[in-house]
Formats: sequence, C-alpha cells, structure tokens
Amino acid sequence: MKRATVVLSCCLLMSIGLVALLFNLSDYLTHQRGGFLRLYPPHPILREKGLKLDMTDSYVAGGDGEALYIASKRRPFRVVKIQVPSMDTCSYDLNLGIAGLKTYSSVLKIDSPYFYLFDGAMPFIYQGNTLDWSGSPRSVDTYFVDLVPIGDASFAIRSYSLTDRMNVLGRLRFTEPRFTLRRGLLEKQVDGYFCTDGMLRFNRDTRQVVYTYYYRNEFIVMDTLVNLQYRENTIDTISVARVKSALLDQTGQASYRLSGPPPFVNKASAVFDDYLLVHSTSASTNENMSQFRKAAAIDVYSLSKHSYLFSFYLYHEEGESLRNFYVFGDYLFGIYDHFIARYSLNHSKFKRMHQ
Amino acid sequence: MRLIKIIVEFISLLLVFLFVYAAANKLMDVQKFKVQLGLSPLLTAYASWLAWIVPLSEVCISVMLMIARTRLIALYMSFSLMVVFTSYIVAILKFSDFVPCSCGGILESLNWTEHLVFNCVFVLIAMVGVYLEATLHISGEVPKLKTDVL
Repeated sequence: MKRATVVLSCCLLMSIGLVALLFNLSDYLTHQRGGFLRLYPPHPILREKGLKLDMTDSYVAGGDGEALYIASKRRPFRVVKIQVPSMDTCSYDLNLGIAGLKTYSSVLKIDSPYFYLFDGAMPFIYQGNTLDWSGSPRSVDTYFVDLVPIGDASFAIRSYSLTDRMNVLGRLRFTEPRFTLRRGLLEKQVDGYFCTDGMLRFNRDTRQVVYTYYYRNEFIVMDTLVNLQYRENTIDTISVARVKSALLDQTGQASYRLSGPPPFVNKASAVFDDYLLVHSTSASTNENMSQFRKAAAIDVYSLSKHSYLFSFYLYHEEGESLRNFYVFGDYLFGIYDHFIARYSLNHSKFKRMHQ
Repeated sequence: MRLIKIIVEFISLLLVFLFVYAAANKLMDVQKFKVQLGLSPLLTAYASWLAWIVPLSEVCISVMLMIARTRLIALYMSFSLMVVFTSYIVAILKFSDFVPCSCGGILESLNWTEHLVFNCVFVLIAMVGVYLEATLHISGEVPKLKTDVL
C-alpha cells in the first residue's frame, strides 16, 4: 500500500513535470526567431462587410477612421471616397488647374486633410486638400520611386540612386533642407533594385516609418527624420532575397527586369498602434495547409517589443486572393482585385496577445 | 478479494475503452490531429511527433491493461497519462496566451472545463485501480513478474 502511494506520487510529479517542461520549451520555441511556427488565436478580427469594386487598376490612396479613399491608375484625377462604416461611396475629381497633364504612373496619397499626387519621374508633387480637392504643384527637386507622407509637410521616400546602383531611403520636405538621403538603411544583396524592393509605411500612432522588404525576412523601423531605430527579422527564414534579375539594355536605357515570378516573402504590410502586420507568403511548419491555400496569412509583430505576437488569416473573397490590406481606425480593409472586405479589429485580443 | 478483482477488471476495461476510443479517433485522421495539435499554443512545436506518440502509447497501455501480469504497471501508466492530459488542460486554461477554439478540441462535444472534470474523474479511477491491484498483488492473487519492478 505504502509503495503504491510512493509510486503514484512519483508518477504524479513526473507527469506534471513533463507538461511543465513541454510548456516552457514550447513557449521558447514559438517565440524564438527562425523557429517559424505560427500561433492562431481564435477571432482577433471579425469579417463585417464587403463591397464590390468596379474599378480597374485601383489602389488605396489613404484613409482614416471615417473614410477609405480609392484611386485608379487609369483615371489619375479621380478619387472614390468610401464612408465607414456605412460603405457608401461617392467620387470626386481632383482640381489641379491643369487640363490633360501627361502622367505615366501618377500615384495619389491621402493624409487627411491633405492629398498628394506625384509621379516620381517628375520633380514635383501636387499638394491639395480633401475638402475641395483642389491642389497645386510644389517643386521637390528630386526623383523618387515611392513616397509616404509623415506629417509636417515632410515625406519618407525611396529613391533609386544611380551612383550606388540601388534603392536608397530618404526624407523629403517642401522647405529647406528639401532632400536628405539616408544611405546604409537599405542593404544590397543581389541587384540593388529588386533585392531591396519593399513597402514604405508610416505609423501615425507611434510616429515611426516602417520599411518591409518584399523578398527577405526583414523590416526596418525609423523615426520621422528617417533615422534608423532598429532592424528586425520576420519569423520567416528567407534572409537573402531570391531574386534573379536581368539587366535589359533597350535603346541605351538600362532597365532591370525580374526573370521569373517574384519570390515574395512579404507581400503586403500595415502598421497601427504598436503593431506591424505582414502578409507572409510562406507556410509555417505547423500551418494548416487546407486553410493556408484559401487565405493570406497575416503575422502580427509588436513594434515596441521587437517580437512576433500571433497570426490570422484573411480569406480569399469571390475567388480572388488578397492583394493588399490597410488598417484605419478600428477597421482592417482587405483589398482584392474587385472587392473590398471590411473587418473590425478585436483590440482587446491584440492587447492580450501583447502581454 | 473476488469483488476487488471484479472492480479492478471493470476499471481496466473502462480505461481500455477510453484509450482505444481516443487512439482510434486520432489515428483515423492523423493529419487532422496534427493540425489540431499545431493550433494549440503549448504543443505547436511538437505536433508532428506527438500526433503519433500519444495514440500509440494509448494503444500500448490498453494492451498491457488486458494482460494480468502487466496490469499494475499499465494502471500506473494510465494514471500518469491521465495526469499529463489533465495538467495540460490546466496549463491551457491558466497559463496560455489564449485558449484554442474548443471546436478543435479532443472530445469535441465537451468544453475545456467539462473536459477537466472528466479527466479528473479518470485520474481518480486509475488511482483506485492501482490501490486495488496492489492489494491483489500483496495477497498473492496475481502471478508476479519475475523482475518484480513494482
């Protein structure tokens, strides 16, 4: 009898010890970089409403807690405003005082109450306001590939430097000093152009600029002067961009082309509050493949804790896979080719996972 | 003694039923079980091999429970396994970042708290089994193992 009690106690302690060990090890493994496992807590976001979008080549120009702005490459001077949460739409024409301006790839960015229209191939930006949608050109003395307004009439930009033969981040202002390049932020791995390609985002809540590479597992966090705060890796394991690019020389103009499909690691990203959200294309070792095939996996990182928190899926809509996504106010917008899906964020769930 | 013997056999049978049922459920769709384990914040790192080890040990214990010579060891093992399951549930409920959807749970109709009670009952049953079987051993009712480990 006594022996049975002793053995039972040993069994009890060993069993509990085993679970405790598993628990601690698991915690260590999942939160460690490169382990590449995802956590899927139930329902951090809630699918609310969808909207058909009858625009070709459309993109999100900006948004805030009250509206989402959609523009189209086909009609660069037209903006569609989608009221949130009603999802009612109305469209406006930009009044820039110039009829029939030739733009090849003009992009509209809205940072209410301002809008900015730029081409990147022309050294000026049209600035205007979202109240009457009228604007005028302002000279910026430089060319750039991408631009994001970061407040106080300044911008974080990505420019292609011919001397370095690679993308370089920098800061742009309407007043002197207008243009400052920050060399060394982006790091060349293959060709300088595609291997450093990525997404420039501004977090209004923490006033941080976040650059996430498309083809490698890294993001860079900067302040509003575009000075480096830190670099961090995503949970993915691809640290070197697998881009093969070909240098085409057409009529004296060199241009890089990707040979083969783009090997995306991070396809889209958004920032809000203390979070960076990244649409990652790689499956984790614990991925549920049947779910993964019909959804986009979004990984959530904490900007202050420099760590991975959890993941969730954004499912395909009407047979279309996610193209991009944005967070404005309490909503997450999934953008598809002809569809917008609105999700509400479960802030308490985000907070709980943050602890 | 006869009554004790019947009770021990009944307890063993109950545990065999539980383990075989649980193991069959898991082995019928190992892939699905792996995914379910993968969703658990505690087990996600070990899902691939745990998906095999758990049901196989359940089968092993079931076989040993049915053989008189190994019954005592098997009862100890059943007790340990049930304690592992139970402490896992406690860990999930108390210490984990989040509780996985119970729709991905092990006994699908039970919620986590009901599951905890269910497990505790089986821990107690296994414990009673151990004491009764040990009594039988002392009184020489069961042929002893040569090495007499326990």
